[in-house]
Amino acid sequence: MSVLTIRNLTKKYGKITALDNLNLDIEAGNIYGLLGPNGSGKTTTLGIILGILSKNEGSYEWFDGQYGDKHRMHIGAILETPNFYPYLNAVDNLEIVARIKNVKQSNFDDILEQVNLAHRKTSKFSSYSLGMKQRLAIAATLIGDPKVLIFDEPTNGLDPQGIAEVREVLTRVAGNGNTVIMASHLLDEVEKICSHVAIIKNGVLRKTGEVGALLNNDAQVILAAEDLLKLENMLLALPYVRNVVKKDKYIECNIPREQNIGSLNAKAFQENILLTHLVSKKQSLEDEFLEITKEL
Amino acid sequence: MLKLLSLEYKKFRKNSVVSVLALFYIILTPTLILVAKEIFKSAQGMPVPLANFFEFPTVWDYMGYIGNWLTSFFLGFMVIYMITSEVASKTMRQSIINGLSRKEYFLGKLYTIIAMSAAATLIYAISTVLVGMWHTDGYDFELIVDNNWAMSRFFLMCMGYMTFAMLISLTMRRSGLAIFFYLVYVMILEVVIRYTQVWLWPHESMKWWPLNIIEDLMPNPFLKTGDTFLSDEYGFSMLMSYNWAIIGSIIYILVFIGFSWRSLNKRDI
Repeated sequence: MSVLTIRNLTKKYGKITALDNLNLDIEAGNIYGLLGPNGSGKTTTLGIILGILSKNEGSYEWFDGQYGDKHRMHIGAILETPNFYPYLNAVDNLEIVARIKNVKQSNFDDILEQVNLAHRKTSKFSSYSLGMKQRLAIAATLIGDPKVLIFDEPTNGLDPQGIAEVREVLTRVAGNGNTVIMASHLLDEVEKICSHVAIIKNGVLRKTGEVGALLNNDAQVILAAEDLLKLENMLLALPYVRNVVKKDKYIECNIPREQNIGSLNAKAFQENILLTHLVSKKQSLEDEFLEITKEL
Repeated sequence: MLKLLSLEYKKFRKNSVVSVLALFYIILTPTLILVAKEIFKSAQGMPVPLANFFEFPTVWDYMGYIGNWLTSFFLGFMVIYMITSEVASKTMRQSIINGLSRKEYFLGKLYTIIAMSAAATLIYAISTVLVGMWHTDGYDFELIVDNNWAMSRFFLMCMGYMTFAMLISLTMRRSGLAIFFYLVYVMILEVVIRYTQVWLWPHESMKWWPLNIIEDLMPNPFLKTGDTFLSDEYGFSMLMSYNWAIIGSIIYILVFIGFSWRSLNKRDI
């Protein structure tokens, strides 16, 4: 089932184009990462599809239009910051969210337990640490068992412990079969949690697809030996070795991921080259991301 | 409608600012006139017709004029707070994200204003009847209710101040700015504009400025006396007739509501 379809979405702030012809399809069950540097248009995209920012051109449709303009009742979302009434406690705040969503629920212990806030449920929101506020916001998104969860930079501004706590909660929530859309500039986060990713830069969608498919299939290998020249010649002669680059003290090259790097070692030994260094580096999403985003 | 009203109640029932403002309003409405009585008592020999302050039917006018001040301050501030605090804490934004439509959010505020106006009118009526019964010798029901539609005028006055406060809040969005502009406009700016107009162009239209019409629903009773002299000078009465004030304020209230909705509906939140 299609959860969200975005077509040719464009948003301009004066002369600045924040979003340029964005197209995106999100299916039920996807854990979708919206990845891009700060100011790339992630929050603008989420703001538009959540009805709080206007668009200049294009369209979007939630759930194939089956809920009409009541679609937000079936979405649990945080945008930028956790927004609650500072003078009310966690339970009062969650009650307000439940009432908006027409959910008849007065006991939030389960939900608060999930985000480790049950012990502070009667404290005022203003007394919470940033990490607790963010976790309460995650709790609020779970009310009414929505069909989609949207998180925007969920670990932004948190200390390491806060990050760890929020991530743990996110991983749990994402693992429950929910559809999740998560904006982030943290690759590590997206790589660990998401199944799909869309990379955005300056309002333009650069690449989209499954996280695994987006990664380069090559592994990078770094080798060194006494006689670098001889090693280089050997590598150049091998059919499956690509992008051989000789540096000052070592050689970089790419081999297919399924290729065992032990074969390089064996080959070198046959040719009487004694390797002094042999490391295989998996190409991470981070390298991919940097490569994609530096093109502009 | 009940959902939206109870939602607003849930949001603000534990809020200290709203509670304090409401408490002041409820306490001051019946007591301010009694404080005035004590002051006049101690200032002997003042040529003020003290008695009709507190007697039916004129007590409706005096209590109404006190209510005029109290409403423009306490209830106006309450509306500004209830809107701008939601902008500042971004709970307005979150309400929309959570599923309310902009229209529902707006109606929630509008229903609250209507409910507050009704409650304020009730407080006004009860206080006035109590003060009047206490001070009037020999009253009957007819004398008590002889008040020229005072309750309806009071209700419209509350609606007028509060919808104006809503318009300022939704347009300016920042609490400090909104309170400043509201106060300056209500207290100073419009008076200055009106008297500049009288100076340049002495015409009856100077009565048709919005806050003046709303104020003239419950006018200063002393002005009634002063008006006879002024109308000689300018050739027209400085006070609106009640009928025109009612018609004019209904028009302004609808305009305030319309522009408030436009401001909320058109802009990014």
